[in-house]
Amino acid sequence: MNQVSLTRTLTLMLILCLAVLAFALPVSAQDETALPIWQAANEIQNQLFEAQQTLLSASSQAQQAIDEIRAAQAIYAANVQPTLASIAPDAETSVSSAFADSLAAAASGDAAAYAFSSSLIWTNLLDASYAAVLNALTAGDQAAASDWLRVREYRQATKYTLVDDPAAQAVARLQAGGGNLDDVIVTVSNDLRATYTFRLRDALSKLGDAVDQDFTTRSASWAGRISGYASILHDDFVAKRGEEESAALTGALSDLETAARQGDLAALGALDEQIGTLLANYQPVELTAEEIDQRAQLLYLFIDLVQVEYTRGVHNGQITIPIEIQEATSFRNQAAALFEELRPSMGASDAEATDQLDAHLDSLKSAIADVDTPEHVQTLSAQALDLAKQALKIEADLTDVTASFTIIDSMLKDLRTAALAGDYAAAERKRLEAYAILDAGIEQRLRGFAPEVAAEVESMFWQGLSDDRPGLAVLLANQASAGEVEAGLDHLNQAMADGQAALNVASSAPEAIVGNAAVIVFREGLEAVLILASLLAGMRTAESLRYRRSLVLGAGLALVGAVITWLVFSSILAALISLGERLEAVVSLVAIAVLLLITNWFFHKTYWVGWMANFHTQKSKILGGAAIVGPSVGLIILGFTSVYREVFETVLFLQSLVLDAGAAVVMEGVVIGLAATAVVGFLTFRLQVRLPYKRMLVFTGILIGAVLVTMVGNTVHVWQVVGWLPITPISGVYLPYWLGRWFGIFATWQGILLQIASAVFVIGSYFWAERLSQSKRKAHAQPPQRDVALNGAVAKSES
Amino acid sequence: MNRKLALLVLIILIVPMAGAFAQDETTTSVDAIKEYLVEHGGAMLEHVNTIQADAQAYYDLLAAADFDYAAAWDAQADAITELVTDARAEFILAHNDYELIEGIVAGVPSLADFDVWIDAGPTGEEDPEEAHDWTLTLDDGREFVQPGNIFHWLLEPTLWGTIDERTGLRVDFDGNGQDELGDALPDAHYFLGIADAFVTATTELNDAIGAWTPSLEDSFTALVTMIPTMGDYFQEWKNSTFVAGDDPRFVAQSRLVDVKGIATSLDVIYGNVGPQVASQDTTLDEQISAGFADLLTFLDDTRATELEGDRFSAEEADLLGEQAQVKADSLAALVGQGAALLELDLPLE
Repeated sequence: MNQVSLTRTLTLMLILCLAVLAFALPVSAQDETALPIWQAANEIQNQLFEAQQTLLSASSQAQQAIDEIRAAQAIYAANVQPTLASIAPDAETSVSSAFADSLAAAASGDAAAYAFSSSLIWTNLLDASYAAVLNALTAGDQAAASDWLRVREYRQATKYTLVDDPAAQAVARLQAGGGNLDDVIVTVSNDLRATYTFRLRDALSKLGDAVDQDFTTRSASWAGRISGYASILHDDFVAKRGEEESAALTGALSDLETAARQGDLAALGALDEQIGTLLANYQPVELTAEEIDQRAQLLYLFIDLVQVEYTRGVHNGQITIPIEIQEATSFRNQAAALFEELRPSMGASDAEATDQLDAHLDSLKSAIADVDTPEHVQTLSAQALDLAKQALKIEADLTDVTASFTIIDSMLKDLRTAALAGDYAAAERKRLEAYAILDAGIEQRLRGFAPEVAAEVESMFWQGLSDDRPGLAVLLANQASAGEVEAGLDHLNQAMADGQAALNVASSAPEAIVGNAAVIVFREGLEAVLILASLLAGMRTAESLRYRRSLVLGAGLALVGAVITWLVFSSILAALISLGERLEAVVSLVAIAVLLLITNWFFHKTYWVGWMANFHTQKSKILGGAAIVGPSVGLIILGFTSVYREVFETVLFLQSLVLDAGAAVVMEGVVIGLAATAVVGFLTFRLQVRLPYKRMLVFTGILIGAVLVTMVGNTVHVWQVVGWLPITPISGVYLPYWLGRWFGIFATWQGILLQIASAVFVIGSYFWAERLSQSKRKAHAQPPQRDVALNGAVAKSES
Repeated sequence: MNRKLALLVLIILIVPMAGAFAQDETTTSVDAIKEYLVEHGGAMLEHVNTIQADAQAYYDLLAAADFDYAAAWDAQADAITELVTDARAEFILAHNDYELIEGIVAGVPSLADFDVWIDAGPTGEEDPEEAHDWTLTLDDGREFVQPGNIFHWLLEPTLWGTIDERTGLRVDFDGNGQDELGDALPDAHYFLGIADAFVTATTELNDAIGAWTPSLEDSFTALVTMIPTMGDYFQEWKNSTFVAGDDPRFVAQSRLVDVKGIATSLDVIYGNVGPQVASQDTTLDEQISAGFADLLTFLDDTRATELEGDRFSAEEADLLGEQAQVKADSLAALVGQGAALLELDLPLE
């Protein structure tokens, strides 16, 4: 580099560095006057709160409140209004109008009227922000969308749950170049609508509390919030519930405003209920089919448990076991809560049945409160169950154990509470109830899938595993200390968690999945190498050598085809993923078919020989000019087809493993298999080393047989999970859990018999093929064609 | 010329990198949180030891009088007044120190149970599931299973005489001729038993703090679990004698002091982990920092109004509680986003 160019380079670097530094300077240094929108919004909210406090205090001073509102208005005018006026003018008008209203209320010293209108300022600002986000996204200004999105409310956090922010995450992904605009807009809208619906329902509840406490100003404030949130959701409400319901809601909201401004608490209380009813069927974000199904199964279980508990607790018109009645009440309440969640979906499907179910749930509540006859409660429960199924159009799924686990967990918590309070009799009843639910469905499945865990769960419910680890029955009978009961419960809960995991379809050990994937990839890769080696081996003349590239190119294209095939299969599975375990059940069956095909091809040498002979015939035709296309194109096609068949089988098989353990785990195995194939390929093509191909094929063939047997076991397991195959545990047989995770061996007759059958098939197939081969050899009395067909690659390796 | 130019380029490249490294050192310093805990936990233990010494002296004095409180009061009113007054003052000092760390103790999973034991847990009668599982044993053999937290269910009502069972004698403690809150002598058995338990609990807390290895996960867990509780504390404040309630707890100090202490300790945590959030999203960090500043200002203003002698109406307290909850909800969500950006796996229930 000469002197001039070095100077030029350094100068260029200097300019670049300075430019980078300039961009790195804090934004505040560039623009010191304007507040970020989120900060302006916070300060507006604080000023409005100050004004509210001023008006509410004993020494209420209207002028001070007016000054505080004007301060808020000034912040709004300086930092928010100009931008808002240009991108969401309607929303801006609403905010400005609410400011004017607030000032008028403060001037007249009317704390309630101010409370209503200041709530509207804030909620209108939220509405404006929502509109601004969507406008900015549509206009392609993602940074502006991100800024406006910071002015929002969230669901209420609790100490047990984090509040997620899918809207911000979606916009961030878009800014980073990921995601698609339409999806992001849907995510943002769903998130904000769900949040403001949560806030609206919370405000309705808080209005009820404020009315109960005779808080006029606070009631007006909540009424303003209700109006504001409802306004944000208005368009979606109209779209989902129609003009008629929307008009009714608008009317009620108008009355609410009048009542709030007049301080009419009685009217506010009545309107609070009326609006709650009008919103009952509104759902801001549709539940997915899977979510509806899960809730439906839980709803059925709760409705049924109401009558079970009630029947235990009442005899001859008297409550004999109060805790059973409490439990029946609790199950009814939980059923009612689930019904509220499902109501919009049910109403859309069968409005009449939905209303009847609502009435039945109310009747159940009254029947329990009035200590009605158990027969009447049973009838009501049965009718409610039928109505729920009719409206949801989902049958009760006896194979769904999630709901049972949820309820047992709840009962064990109640057991703990009762035991810690020293009420051992109540704790014992809870234990028996929880065990009854376990015995009704889960235990049978656990005995089939994870007998060790089943035995542990059973023991911990009753006698325990040893003197050091007594079960709950013993602990409660001995009125053990709180610490001992807790230790027993912890042990049982852990066993239950293991049991739930064992019943989960995704139960294979990741290492086993990696191994299976590696075996299949290596096996198919080995075949591809041999086919390619065989085809290339005959092309040694100077003329043929130029065609070798075409053949290799074709094989390379097959690998590209592998990636495309993988993506296509992944997309198909992603589209069908809502089928859940059923999808895995079907795909696993297909994968078994593929494996059977592979083993059959391998053992029946005639297949292999015929296949290879066919390739060689094609090659001869191409090189001899007898093909439709020219030699180069023809050899590309030959290279592609000879390798792609192996690729297709592999990709198809791997999808089943992906559904079991996820793509990341499977890819580990794929990488190992490819690496092993690459080593063989390198040794064969580059170093011309003659490997013991036949032995390698036999060895991998045995491994494939093992994979097949495992696969059959896992597939039977999945079919049993989805209820397509019965579960018949093998009595007295307790197989360790790892056998299931590693080899798909579970102690059910169905699983073991089908695994034995598959092993018999593989071994039988081998002997049958051998027998056929011997017969042919005898008949033709000539050397096996296979060595000839492989044209050197295998035959020479065995020499 | 070229050498100078090259040097300039080098300096421009190195200076920001050096700055980045220096910043990285401070941002990962969650150890400062532990130092803060050790400091206030140690100070609290000193006050608790003093309370225990007062309780022992008080017990000895009453035992000498065969637990005849009236006789003891007649004979040694000054000595008794001094001991009880000192114990009350030490209670407030210990409590202030604890409140400055409560946000962290209650939020860090390995320390959280101490908060239930010392300051926040209910009695077994109220909620056996949430109550700390321990037994208070008095010198006369009486035992109380899950008796509630030491500060507010045990010591405070005992020292200020808000629960009759734990009061030895009602006396005109301040000599103003009226029977008011605090005009009571504590039951000596309760006082000593509780003070002994308090020393045990505080010592164990300090040991646990010493054994704790601070981490980013623990810090964020403390933030996201404690921030949402602001509204609950305001509810307790609303129901206390400082507003319009008659709760026997929270009589020594306004619950606002507790809220401020917790918010302060959470602010200390965020001050140490905030730079990590800033490294992912500067604006989010600014929002969270501003949120803490805003919350603390709000609490200071409210407490200042209370100290000025203004008594809030129940409706005003409700408004203030709602405002605190609004700020907490927003802050909790933002901190949750920060944790998500840092890909932290928080052990929430």
